[in-house]
Amino acid sequence: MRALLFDGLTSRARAVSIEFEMLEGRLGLAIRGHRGLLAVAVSDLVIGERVGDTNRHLGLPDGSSLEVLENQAFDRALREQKLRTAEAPIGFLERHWRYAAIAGVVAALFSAWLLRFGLPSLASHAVRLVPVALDARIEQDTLRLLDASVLAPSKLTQERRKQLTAVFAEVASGVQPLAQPFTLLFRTGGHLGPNALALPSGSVILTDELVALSKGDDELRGVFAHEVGHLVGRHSMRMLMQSSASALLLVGLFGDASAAASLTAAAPAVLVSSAYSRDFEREADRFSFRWLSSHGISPRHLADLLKRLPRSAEGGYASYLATHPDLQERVEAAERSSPAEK
Amino acid sequence: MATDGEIDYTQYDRGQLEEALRRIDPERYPADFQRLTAEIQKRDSHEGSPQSPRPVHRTQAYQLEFRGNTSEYFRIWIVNLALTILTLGVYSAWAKVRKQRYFHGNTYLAGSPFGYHAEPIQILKGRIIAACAVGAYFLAIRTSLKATAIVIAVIFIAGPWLLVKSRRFTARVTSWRGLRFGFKPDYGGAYRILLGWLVLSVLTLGLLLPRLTRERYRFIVSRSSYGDTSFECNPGVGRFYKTAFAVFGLAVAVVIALTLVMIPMMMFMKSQGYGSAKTTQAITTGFVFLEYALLGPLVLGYTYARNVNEVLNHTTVGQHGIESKLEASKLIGIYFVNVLGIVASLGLLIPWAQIRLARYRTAAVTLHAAGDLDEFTAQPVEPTPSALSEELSSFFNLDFGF
Repeated sequence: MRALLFDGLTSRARAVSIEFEMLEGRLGLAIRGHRGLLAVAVSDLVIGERVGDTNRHLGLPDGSSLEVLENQAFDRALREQKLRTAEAPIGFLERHWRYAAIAGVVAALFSAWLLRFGLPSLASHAVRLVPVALDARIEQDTLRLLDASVLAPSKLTQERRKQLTAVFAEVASGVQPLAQPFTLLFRTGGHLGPNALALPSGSVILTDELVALSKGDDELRGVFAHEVGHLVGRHSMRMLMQSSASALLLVGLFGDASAAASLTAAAPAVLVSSAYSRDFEREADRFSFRWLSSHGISPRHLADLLKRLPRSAEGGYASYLATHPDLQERVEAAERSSPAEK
Repeated sequence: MATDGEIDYTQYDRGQLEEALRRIDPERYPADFQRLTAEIQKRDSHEGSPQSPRPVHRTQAYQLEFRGNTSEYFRIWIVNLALTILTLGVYSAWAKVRKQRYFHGNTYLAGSPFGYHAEPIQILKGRIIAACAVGAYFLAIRTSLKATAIVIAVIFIAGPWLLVKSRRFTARVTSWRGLRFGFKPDYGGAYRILLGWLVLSVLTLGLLLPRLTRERYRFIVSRSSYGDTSFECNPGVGRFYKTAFAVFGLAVAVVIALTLVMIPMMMFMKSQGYGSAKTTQAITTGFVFLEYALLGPLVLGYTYARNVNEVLNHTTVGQHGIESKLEASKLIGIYFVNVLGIVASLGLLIPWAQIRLARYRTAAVTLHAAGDLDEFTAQPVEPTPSALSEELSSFFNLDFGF
């Protein structure tokens, strides 16, 4: 077989011919054409991998190397001598369209499964390993950031606050708190409008706008139970874990396309994140419906409040991208879980 | 940058004079050009006399060539992707090495392919540590502002060190004709040049950024070597400013043009009764995507083509010169079609995109060899440095040039 010998000292190539032969009772590679015969025991030979149809490199013990010019013949010789390189099975898969097609299907199905079920389930278990002190840390910074940018002090009277705090305590009473006791915070929502937000480790922000929109405490009980559902499930921390892991996975999948990397990996990351977010909203809704039912309150109260949310805050447009599940869907879920009312 | 009229051509041999004549820009260096032609004429008139034998050097052009093909690489890509996903990323180190082997092994210079010799285990170790660092980074930027500030400071301070380490790794595992490439571990220079120009750029509100780009390229190329032959690199400063201003102008023009199309379109839709918030939002989103899809390839393609041309056209390896003929418009077109193809095929065309990009970028480079390419010699053998820095840089997407 034809090959080029490089001595590793200069860039000069020397044309040689190579052959596997028994040399002094051991299998060796005979190199002819440069200074007569050069023999190297196979055990001293570093046989490089062949990727695609690129030329193989063979490392010799003295630092010189061979570039094999006949891939087919050399592969055949390796087979005949029963010499296998570590990555030979991968090369076999890579050469056949059939296995490439199987690989494609496996990759698509497994990554879809991983994104949809694997990572969320992994995160729900792994979250127990994350100290709650970290949630508390994040909460402090988030609250500071929200107060500095969007939120303003509440204009509710002390009396109304006391009243609402009592309602909130009633909802939170049966639940084991995380790092700190559950607390209700009052703010003006600014452009967040009528809204309630669960911070990572125990605080719930209630905006004045939502209080104004609500009719009766049962509706607010539904909202509080929804937010407590987020807290109990540590949804913030799980969201953080899931979206980081999925971003990493997507960069692995689509990210090595050079210039297009950021664009092609960012778009699916947004889609995946919002899908996770919708899952958490549904989970919190279910928690809320369960709590309301077990306290003899109809889940329709939450649905009624949701129906009154202004369309601008939660438009029907691009529902797939929306962070919150479609309003209609949530209302229907609430009504389904209260058949007694119908 | 050399000043016009400074070069002493009497010291040059015949081959070097011819090389200089081929490469000189007579408009920029009129005095040098005049002296160069005078020197060549002087030698010509002496020709034939035994005192000045004419060296046998003749420059020969070797165009880089990429021989990989899409169908072969598609199979390699998808098999390795599947294995990477199934092993939850552990196999990615092997996948990376196979990909690099494929691209290096299919890049030919003067009939010989390049080689890639990193060990997957080395890369895996680097990747594990880098992944932990990235995890810490993500956690930091999402949990605390103070931690974010610390992380960013660490990245800036470690940046030059990482650059040197990662270039060193990449160079040491790359070979051609049995000789390895190298990178001089000039940490002092890295801090002085890269951090120095970065600080100056910040102080001048970004006005010196093109200069930083030039210094970074120059640092990377001029510390590189093939065997024991160093690269030399001295690109002009002005070209980097021209490129930066041109690309800024182009980007602004694209944004203005898109806005000029978008506003009448919205007004027309409104007049036809489609003026709801929904449609407006849909149109705006569409245009933002279009803007990204246009601006990304435009900015990257233009900057890359112009800067790399300028750098390589002023780079020499020993007495050999390099020429780069990337056309910005073609590169932009390739990037743009690649993005469209990848998005439309949900990622299946990634290997196709990578191959056509490699093919174009490779074919644009020519080595003008002044004499024999067989006479490079090796550097004393050194152990290959760890892959950690390389992995850290690529995880943090610190793209250092090439």
